[in-house]
Amino acid sequence: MGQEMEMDSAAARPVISIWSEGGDSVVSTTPLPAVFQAPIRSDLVQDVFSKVNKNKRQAYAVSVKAGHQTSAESWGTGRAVARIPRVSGGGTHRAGQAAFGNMCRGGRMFAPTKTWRKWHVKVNQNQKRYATVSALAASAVPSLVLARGHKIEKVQEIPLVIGNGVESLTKTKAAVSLLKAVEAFTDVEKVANSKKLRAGVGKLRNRRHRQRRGPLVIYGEDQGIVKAFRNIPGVELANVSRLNLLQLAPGGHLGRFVIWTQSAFEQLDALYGSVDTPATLKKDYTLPQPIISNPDLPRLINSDEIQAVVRPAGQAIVKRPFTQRKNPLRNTGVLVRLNPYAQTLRRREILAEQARKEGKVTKKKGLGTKNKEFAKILLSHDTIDA
Amino acid sequence: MSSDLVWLLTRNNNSFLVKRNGIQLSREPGNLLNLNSRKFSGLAAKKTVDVAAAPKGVTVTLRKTKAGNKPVATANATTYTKGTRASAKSVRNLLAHYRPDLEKAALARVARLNESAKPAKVQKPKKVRGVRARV
Repeated sequence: MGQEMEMDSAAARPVISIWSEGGDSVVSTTPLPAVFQAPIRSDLVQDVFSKVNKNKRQAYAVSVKAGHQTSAESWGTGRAVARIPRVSGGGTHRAGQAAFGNMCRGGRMFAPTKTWRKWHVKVNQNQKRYATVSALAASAVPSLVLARGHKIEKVQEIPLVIGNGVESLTKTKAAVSLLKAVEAFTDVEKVANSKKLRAGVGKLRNRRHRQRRGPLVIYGEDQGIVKAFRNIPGVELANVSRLNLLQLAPGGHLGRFVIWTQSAFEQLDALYGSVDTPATLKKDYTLPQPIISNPDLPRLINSDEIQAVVRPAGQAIVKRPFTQRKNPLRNTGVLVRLNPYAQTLRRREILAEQARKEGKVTKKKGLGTKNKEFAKILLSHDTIDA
Repeated sequence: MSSDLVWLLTRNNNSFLVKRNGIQLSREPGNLLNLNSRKFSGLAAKKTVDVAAAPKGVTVTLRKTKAGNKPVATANATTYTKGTRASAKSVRNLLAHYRPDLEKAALARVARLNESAKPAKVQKPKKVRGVRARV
């Protein structure tokens, strides 16, 4: 069965079309590189992303002198003020004010930041590669690309591969018309419409606007493609041999919309190899293998192997066979079901009631006539003595 | 791609999730109740049913299971313009073998969309009575 399933998953997307630069026709086809069958590990991608994302930071810190540019000394005890160091001298308001402490106005901050903080995080190479490969695999699943928010409803095929001529585009106008032709421009429009002024002080620090991310164009060789595409809002470019997780999974979220050039797409097998053949452009690298070959749960459950060993289904447990529980003390029908004699009792009661109303029966008085003898004995004074 | 895996990857984080006023909703196309659940997810399931308003009537879009990785070819849309009851009958037939479990939700959406397309009722001006009528 395992073999059958593997064949099935490999057969799911055997060939990918290569679209013309006009975007309207299929020029040729190419087999799907093995990277796209790699396991998708969102946990690992998030973890690697958060680490790699730290490596571009610049050091910042407060001045080492901040809060310490005064010759304050404590006044000691006996002056009815706190023993915090105080600015010496007179003639200015500053004199006599507390200094140095993190709780003081004009004092130093608590634990002043240092430029020698550990800014960079090392990530194991294999983990980085695993994350990249995962992000690539996710970029080939339309549901995940949609879930990331890319507008790809009208796109012909995912992954979208365009013939090599696109690499020698030099004009942005041509690039835009290509994106329109392959219906990827909706995603660019989404980006353009999303441009907003950034909240906070980042506005003054060269991060004035924020906007969504658009398609990522991955090329094999730059023959003008970078200059043609780089000014389109949200569009980013990457060389296939220098892929970056920050671009493939922005924010650590899988499913970036990637537009491939043919030459980039065809290099993927050499770059990443497959599960059994090592990559030729890396040293000793093979693709990670999925832990389960078939993650399709219903298919696993319905497989002969599992069905052969499971117990047959028992009777369905009915939580409430009745529509609603009835109180037998109030509901006569339920009462009669539980106690058939109740019906007789009730009937007699009604008949007696009727008879009483008609004056047929008088109420019995005292004790019954049958036990006259007994009553006599009971009420006689002799019984007390005896 | 297994839909169970897509569900696990998208359930906690996707661009359609809306968390507001203490409820978690999801507004992707193909989610009939806009609930973030495995059953109603428009992203994870291989077969989804989308009911949307059309200029006239409602459009029911089913996802083709064999389109695979071709987004443009996945939609199979039909527009029903013949009123709630008649279109409900058609939708019921449409879903009978496709996604019978979504029938109730789909019909509810069809009915609600048809209802909302009707022009709003114009309230008659109230007849003045009593003291005001005499003035």
